[in-house]
Order: sequence, then C-alpha cells, then structure tokens
Amino acid sequence: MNSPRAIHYPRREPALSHIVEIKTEIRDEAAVRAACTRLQLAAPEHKTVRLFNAAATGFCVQLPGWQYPVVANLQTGQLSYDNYNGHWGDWSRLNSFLQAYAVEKAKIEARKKGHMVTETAIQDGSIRVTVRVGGAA
Amino acid sequence: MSTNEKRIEITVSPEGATSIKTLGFTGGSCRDATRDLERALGISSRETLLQQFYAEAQSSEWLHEGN
Repeated sequence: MNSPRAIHYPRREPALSHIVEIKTEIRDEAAVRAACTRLQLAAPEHKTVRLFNAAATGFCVQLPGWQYPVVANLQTGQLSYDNYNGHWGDWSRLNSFLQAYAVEKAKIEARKKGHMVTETAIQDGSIRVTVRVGGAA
Repeated sequence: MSTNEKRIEITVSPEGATSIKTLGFTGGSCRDATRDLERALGISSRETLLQQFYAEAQSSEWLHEGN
C-alpha cells in the first residue's frame, strides 16, 4: 500500500495597494510647532485672540502678511481665521501651513513606529513622505 | 527598492490635501498598516483599492493524496 503524500500548492493572493484621501485636522501641538519651524514662522502660542469680529482660543500661528493669526483648536482639529476672503491674508500661506503640518505629522507618526522616513519634493509642489515599513527610524 | 519592500507613501499637495498609498502589502494588511496614520492625520474621505500584482502569500493549500 502506498503511503499518503502531500502536494504543496502555493496559493497566490493579490498584493493589494490602496489609496486613502485624508481631510487634514490640526490636532498635534508638536506637529504645529514643527510646521512653524519648517516655514520659519514664529513659535505658536496658546492664547485667546480677537479676530475681526470674534474671539478664538487655541494655538495661534502668525502667517506672513496675515492681519490676524490662524488659531488651531487642537481638541476639535479646526482652524479659526479671518482673512476677509484673501484681502487680509494670502490663501497660499495657509495652504503652505496645512501642507507643512501634514508632512511633519506624517513623519512624527511614522518615526513613533520605528519606520524609516524620507521626504521628496515633487515637481507640482507636492511633498511625498515615504515610509519604509520595518526600516530603522 | 526591492519588490518585496513594504512602503507607505503620503503625498501632500500644495493645498494641504493628503493622500496615503500603500505598496507591497498582501491582502488586507495594507489597511492595517495605514489605519493609525489615517487617524492621526485627519478624516478619511475616500478609499480606492488597487490590485497591482500577485505575490505568493504566507498561506498555502495542501492536497493529500494516497489511499
């Protein structure tokens, strides 16, 4: 009688990638500070400030050329500002801050997990943070 | 990069819009790899799954023959 034999059939499974789009929320003080340093802005201060016709409390970031600071409420992740639809502050400055925050936050989170992180400037003005999972920090 | 390397690419546009892409993960592990990062950055607004290539997974099937 022949003994049973086992045949190994490797099963192929799809290597999946996925893309997730994120609406950035400003919730991390360290990343706010790192973004300000990156953009050579004054260090943010936690305080209550008067915008044109309202008061706001949070981490205040003074963007270049902006009449009033941008106020980050880290509990809600929301920003308060009044640039009078661009007349009291250039939108591109706020966009640059949001970009810098997201880049710094991504780097902070990846390093917390011990991953190696590199940063690349893309021709269209985007910044790519590449995280090598399992790589040294 | 080696073809087996697992990478996460975070691209932030000049307007601050962020997208996260995974490369080299097998099955649903790509979602696990980015979950914390997604939460840390903000609110996920849209997800697209991409099936790029086939790779041999850890699991396998055994067929027993004999009498």
